[in-house]
Amino acid sequence: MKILECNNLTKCYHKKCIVNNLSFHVNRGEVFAFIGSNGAGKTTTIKMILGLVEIDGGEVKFAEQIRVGYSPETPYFLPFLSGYEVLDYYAGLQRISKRERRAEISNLLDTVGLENTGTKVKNYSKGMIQRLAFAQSLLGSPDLLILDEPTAGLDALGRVEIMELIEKLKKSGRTIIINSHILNDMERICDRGILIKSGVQIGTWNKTDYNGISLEKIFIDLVGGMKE
Amino acid sequence: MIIAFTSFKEKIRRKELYLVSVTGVLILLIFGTGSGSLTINGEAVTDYKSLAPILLIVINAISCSLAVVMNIGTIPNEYERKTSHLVWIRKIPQCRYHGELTAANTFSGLVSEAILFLALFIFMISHGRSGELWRLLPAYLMIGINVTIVSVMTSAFSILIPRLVSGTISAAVMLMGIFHSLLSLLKDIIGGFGGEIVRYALKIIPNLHGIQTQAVNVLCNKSIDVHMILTGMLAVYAFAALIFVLKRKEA
Amino acid sequence: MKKAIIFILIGAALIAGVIATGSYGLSEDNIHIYEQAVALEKGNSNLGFEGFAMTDYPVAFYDGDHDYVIVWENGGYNIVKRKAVINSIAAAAYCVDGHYEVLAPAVEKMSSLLKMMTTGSAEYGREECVATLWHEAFHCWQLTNYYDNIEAICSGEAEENLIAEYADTNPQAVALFERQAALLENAVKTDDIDMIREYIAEYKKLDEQRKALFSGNITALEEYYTRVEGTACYVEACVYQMQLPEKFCSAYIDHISEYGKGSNKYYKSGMAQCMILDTLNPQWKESYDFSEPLINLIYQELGLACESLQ
Repeated sequence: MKILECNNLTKCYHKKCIVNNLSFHVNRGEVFAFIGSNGAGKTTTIKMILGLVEIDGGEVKFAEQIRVGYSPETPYFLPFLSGYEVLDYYAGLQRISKRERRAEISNLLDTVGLENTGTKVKNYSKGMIQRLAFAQSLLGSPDLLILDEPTAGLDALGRVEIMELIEKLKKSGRTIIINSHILNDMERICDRGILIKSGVQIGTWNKTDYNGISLEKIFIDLVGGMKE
Repeated sequence: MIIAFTSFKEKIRRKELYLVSVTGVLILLIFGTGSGSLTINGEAVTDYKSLAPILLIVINAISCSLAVVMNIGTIPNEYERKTSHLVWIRKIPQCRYHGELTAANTFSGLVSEAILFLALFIFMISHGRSGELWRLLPAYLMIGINVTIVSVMTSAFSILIPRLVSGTISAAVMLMGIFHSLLSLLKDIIGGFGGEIVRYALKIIPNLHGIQTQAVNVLCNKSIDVHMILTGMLAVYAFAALIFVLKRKEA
Repeated sequence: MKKAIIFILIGAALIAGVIATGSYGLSEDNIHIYEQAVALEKGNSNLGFEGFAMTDYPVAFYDGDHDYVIVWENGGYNIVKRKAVINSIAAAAYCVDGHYEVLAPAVEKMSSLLKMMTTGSAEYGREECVATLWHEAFHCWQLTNYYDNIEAICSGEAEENLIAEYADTNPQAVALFERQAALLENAVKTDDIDMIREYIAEYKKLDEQRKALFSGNITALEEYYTRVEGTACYVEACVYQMQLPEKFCSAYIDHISEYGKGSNKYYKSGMAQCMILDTLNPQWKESYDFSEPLINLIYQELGLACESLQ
């Protein structure tokens, strides 16, 4: 059952198309990947899905009344707030009642492995900030979670922690879209995806179809090992 | 108002707000309490009726300048650090988002104005005007209209115009508003095409000087021009409408 | 939707408030000033100058955009709005379509200008405005009736900056003028003819010394201001005295001897000479045609020999 369908998505800046006629759909309960090198148009595609940039062509169709959570590539939170306060702020924007908020935030901090000690964001490590971004994306139990480069800038340990977190969410049956250029990570947790080069879809990937062939090999075959 | 409240918390952490306000208070106190001397045309100005307007003019100028500084980057910053993404995806309309950020800035501006008014408070007491301290409230509110005009205007400009340009325009409009009467005189002196340009500019530039004059009138027990105050409030309204109408295409 | 409607209603209320409290056309203040000026004429006719009537000259108030011309006709007045002739920043007598009019900034403009220049300490009240209108109306009368005589006082390229350049920078001339002005002030303040003669005789000696310091151009310029502006200033002072007799001395008499750079000092000395003439011969104005220096009339009245200054 489709939760999201994109048809002929196009975005151009100054006559140059960053995303060109991209079409795909995401099914409920799967982890979907946007695979491509840096600058391939993955983030722009996500922004079009989220309505953060205007679409020049094509359409984005969501299944009716779904809630969407989003974790940005480089999250910024007000440094003088604690993790709890950050989540409280975004929960407030979502009009989650104060009573529900307290329980949900504690639960989410627990889920992402952050302690509610009142530590200010300015004292957080990159990994902690990324996990906090995760937590805010989960506020209000979204039906669809969109994660933009969730492991970007993290060290090996941080990456492992985040991947474990995503796997945990996957097991809970959540639909997730991930955008990453780290192919090993994608291969490990994603079910399906599309490969993008210069804003154009150059192929699709399905874990079940390519049993035994690494995503890296498929990607290099399709992209031609060339940098974009 | 959660965005406004959080943004206000961010603003009151800015050191420059206090630095400028406290410096302003010190300057005002030096001249207001007789520790320093202010001379105009070679004559020392010491009496209440001459000094009070000068102090209000200084407070107005500092408060309005602070309002420009505080508002110039707030909305662009939100988009630069991409905090806007997490707000937009929660279906918060831009008019509410920008409106609340502006409200936070305006409130910060009013707080700094209140700090500056402390100097006037001390000045009035030192001049034996304790019985007239109530006049500070309407005077504060009137200068507050100016601060609000400048805040809302700067925020409105900063939605779509790059920071440097919007800041320059806002500062220019603020200065022209403060020197509205002087420009009116200039218009009459230069005449011709230049005078016509100034004439039309004066029609759209908020008369900050006029409102400040009403605050001075309150402080000096003179009648006030309600029209001037209502016109100032209409300017706030017009710029607020701009905040609600102007929209960014991208977060 | 509800919020939008509330917002629109607030806007409508503000616009209505701005419209309701705004002033359109010439403000009542200006009209009252004109009425007050006219009322003084009814009681005191021409202040002694034969043929002078303030109401003969239209008064145009400039509000920053337009002139509002008040014309006296058949015992009442009409107000006509027109494109501003000049952007008046100070009251002046000005020739418009072949006749002279008083052009003045509207009182609100004048008041705000003064506040700006004096950081709010100066007061420019209704009485000062009325006196100024009379001053300028008197210039209209001078220019309408005695243009040739006035032109003859100061021919050529004489300009006010000559005063600043020569008269105000010459310490000897300044010292002499200060002594002369003090003598005039003393003469104004007494009714004793002998005392006046004494002061004026001394004045005459100093005047001859002072005139020897300058070229004819500067002397002519000084005489122009003394005669033309001095008489207008005298009219202004008389009008002010009618309205605020208690403030008259402090506003006009007590400062005669104060030296100021520029032309204003001649206004005061001319005014003082008119006042001395009032003491010596109250009818002096009836036939005065601006062809003779005021001081010469004083010398004649006091029987002091004099040289023509023309």
